[in-house]
Amino acid sequence: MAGDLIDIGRLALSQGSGLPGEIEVYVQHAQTTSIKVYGGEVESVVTGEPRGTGIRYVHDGRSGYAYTGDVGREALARAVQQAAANALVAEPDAYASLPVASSRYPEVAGLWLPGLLSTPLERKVGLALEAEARALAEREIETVEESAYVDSASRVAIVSSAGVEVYGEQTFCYLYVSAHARRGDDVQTGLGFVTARDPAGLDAALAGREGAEKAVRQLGAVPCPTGRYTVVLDREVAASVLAVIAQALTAEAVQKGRSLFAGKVGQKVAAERFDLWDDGLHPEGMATSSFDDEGVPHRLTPLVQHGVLQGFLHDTYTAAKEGGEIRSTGNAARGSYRGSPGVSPSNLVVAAGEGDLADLIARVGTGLYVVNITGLHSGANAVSGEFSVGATGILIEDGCLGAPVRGVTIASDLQSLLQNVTDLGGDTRWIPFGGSVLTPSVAIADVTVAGT
Amino acid sequence: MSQLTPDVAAAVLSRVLRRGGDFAEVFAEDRSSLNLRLEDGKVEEVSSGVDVGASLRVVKGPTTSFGYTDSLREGALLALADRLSSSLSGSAASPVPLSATSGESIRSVAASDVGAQTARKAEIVRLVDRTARERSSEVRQVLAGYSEGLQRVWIANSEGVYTGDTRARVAVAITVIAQRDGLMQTGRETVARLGGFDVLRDEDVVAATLQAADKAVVMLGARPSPSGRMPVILANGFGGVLFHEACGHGLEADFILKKTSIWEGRLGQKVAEALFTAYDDGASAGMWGSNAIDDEGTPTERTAVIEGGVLTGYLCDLLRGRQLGFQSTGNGRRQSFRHLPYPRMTNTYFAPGDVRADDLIADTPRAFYAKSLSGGQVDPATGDFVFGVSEGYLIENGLVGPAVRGATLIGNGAQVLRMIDAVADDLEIKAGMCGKEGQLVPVGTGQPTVRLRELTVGGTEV
Repeated sequence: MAGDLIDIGRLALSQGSGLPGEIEVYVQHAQTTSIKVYGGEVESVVTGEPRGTGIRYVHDGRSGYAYTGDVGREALARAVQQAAANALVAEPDAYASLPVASSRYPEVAGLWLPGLLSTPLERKVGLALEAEARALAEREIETVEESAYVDSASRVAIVSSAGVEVYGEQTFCYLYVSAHARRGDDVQTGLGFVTARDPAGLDAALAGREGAEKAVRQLGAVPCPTGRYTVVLDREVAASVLAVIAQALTAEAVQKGRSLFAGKVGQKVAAERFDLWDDGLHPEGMATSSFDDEGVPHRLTPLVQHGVLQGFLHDTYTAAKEGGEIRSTGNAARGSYRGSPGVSPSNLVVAAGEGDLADLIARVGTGLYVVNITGLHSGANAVSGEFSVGATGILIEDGCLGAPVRGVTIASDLQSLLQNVTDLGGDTRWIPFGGSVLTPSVAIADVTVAGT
Repeated sequence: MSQLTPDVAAAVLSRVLRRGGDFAEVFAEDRSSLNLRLEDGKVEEVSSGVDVGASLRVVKGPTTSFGYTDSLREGALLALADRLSSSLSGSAASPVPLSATSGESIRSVAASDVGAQTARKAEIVRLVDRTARERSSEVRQVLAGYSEGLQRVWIANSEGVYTGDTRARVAVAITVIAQRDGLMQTGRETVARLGGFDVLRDEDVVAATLQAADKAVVMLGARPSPSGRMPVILANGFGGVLFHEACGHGLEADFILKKTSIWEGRLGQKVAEALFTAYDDGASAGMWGSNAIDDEGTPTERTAVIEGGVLTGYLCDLLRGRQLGFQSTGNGRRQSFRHLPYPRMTNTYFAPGDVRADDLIADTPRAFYAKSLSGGQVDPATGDFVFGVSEGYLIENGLVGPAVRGATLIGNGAQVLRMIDAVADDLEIKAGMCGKEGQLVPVGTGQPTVRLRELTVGGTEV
């Protein structure tokens, strides 16, 4: 399979051999399965092989991009010509260039488990059914709106006229369960999930139980009084907030004048105990591979150490624009073959604190444990730093979890959230939604909660 | 030019039903798109591409099997049909012979519209940059994106439907960043039209750019938002996100069918004040969420979902509608051939009242005024919704007072409709993108200016 994708890359490259500019070919081919079950029956089985090729063309500092879902010679030739034509419309930029081949690419073992493709569909269906049944077995669970198994086996090759020729592959799968608990007229929802590199690594019962427990524990929730609270962000909540903050930690945001952290390298931007890095090589990360989306080796990049900002994430373009000693940190990323790369985190990792969640709650003493937030994309702004979202949670009283809470907002600003981190748990977990983040539960002081 | 002919469609439908099935459908698509992105005063990137492919689904009892291929060739489609039908184990079902019901396009698009010189489109994003920077010396950064797409679809199913549609959309997305004393604020606006490049008017782009720039500059002087429960006035246009989140999603038939919506079992009940009538309207020309047919081939229509305060309809696709005992309302939509259709909103809005918005504000002693919203989210099962305010003000003694920043509004869909105590006459519909099941589709959201007796405002000031 590696050879197939590389061959497509070389074929596309050869279609542009008469053109004066540099050409990069990004070839993607995935096999995906998505199964949903409902009420003990299979609701849908979706299988597909999304694939396509994206061409980046750079000449005299002008960049053009074109893609095609058809990987035949004619379609590739048309895409190369179109990318070159598109480049004529862009303005020249002295820093636009393609990365040259690296002499060494780090190897990460275990990213591809063949069991994912060889596992029969019935077994995958069985996992989703088991997760649903496990959730339904819990008291007060009325229904499971959705229990799903999702997997992908994805392969990428990058071939360029600058000498890059790399291939990578990885498998990934997850189960999620959306459980609904009812007590009288009160309905609450909870999401459970597990992830692995092949179906054998998925604990369906764990996902089902988690979804059910999260729904049941919110039954009877009401708004809490308005005030300033110490909040403990659940790992899923912490991950989604960090993903927003990380938008401002890219050199692209800094160079375009839209980063909160511009000019703050070497300054204290977070609490002393807060460490954050980007790690594209972590064996467990969903974004792990030996190279980024323009073929630069992945690596580990410290972002915040002891609360001090260490630097920003770069791709080849932002590094060239920065000049001096700055090199790409291997953070070129693209959503798919349809888009050219921008700068984005790979796996974000927050250093663990100590103890489990109960220990952290005990240390915090009084506050609000936030288990879910809504409206993040409309309520958090990585440019202005504003942060205000809907929240559900559980009150923390006398060091223990107390009454459930819904119908409140939590508000602060992104800078203050980092500065006011008071404590972290040792309960790190990989969160695969909207990025790939490894984080513990995080306690943050002085957050405004609006309720009654 | 690739396409799906009736002969190929009929052959594929027969093949996919060779081992039984209650329903089968083929959806073919040919989509080309062009995007230009300007930032830092430069057209940084021009990108274009083509996606061609088709999906097949076969439904047997409660189970839908779905697959797709990046080709419209008969051989590839028949192979896909064989793969899908291999999971079934019955005797062959016969599709109804196809009859063309070819949908009337909202707007038939000449190829020249989309093929217009890319250089002319670059002038549009440069116009945005120039206009914003000339508006205020505090404007620090301008991002402008031009995007156009031409989508051709062919849909055939085992019930004899063979139809198609040509859809063209063009949009300019504008983000202006203003800076003062280290504080940054953003203003966003979009000009979005059905059609090709030729329907985009420079003066509309300029007007939207000025609005975005003014919003960013005004918000630089905003004070932190208060928090707590208070009266709220939601301005027209994007205020329609209220209805979209608070009610619209919960009216989608998949949530009704699974009884995970607060609106399930409430048809015919009074759910709002008598002054309230709301629609989902996929058929009106000129609205961003409109198409001639939905993505299952059903002609779109205007559906009254609430009339005079009474719940009158749900938003159905073919399968969920059938299971609920209703016809499809033309709301079966999907992002692309790689996606299963779901019941989705098209353009939602509610009917205007007869008060002028200015009078409504003047009549309000104290309120939070949400002039512009940045989007929202809802849990249909609980009805709890949230939306972000991108431009907010405080109303004091009937006058629009100081700007406030960083507010989110939350509430509950079942309660919020009963909170509306005044509806103005200034209905306006804005373009947006709605996400569900990992799929984005274009939607319109709109409303006249309304006043709510009380909503929770989530700011930072206690």
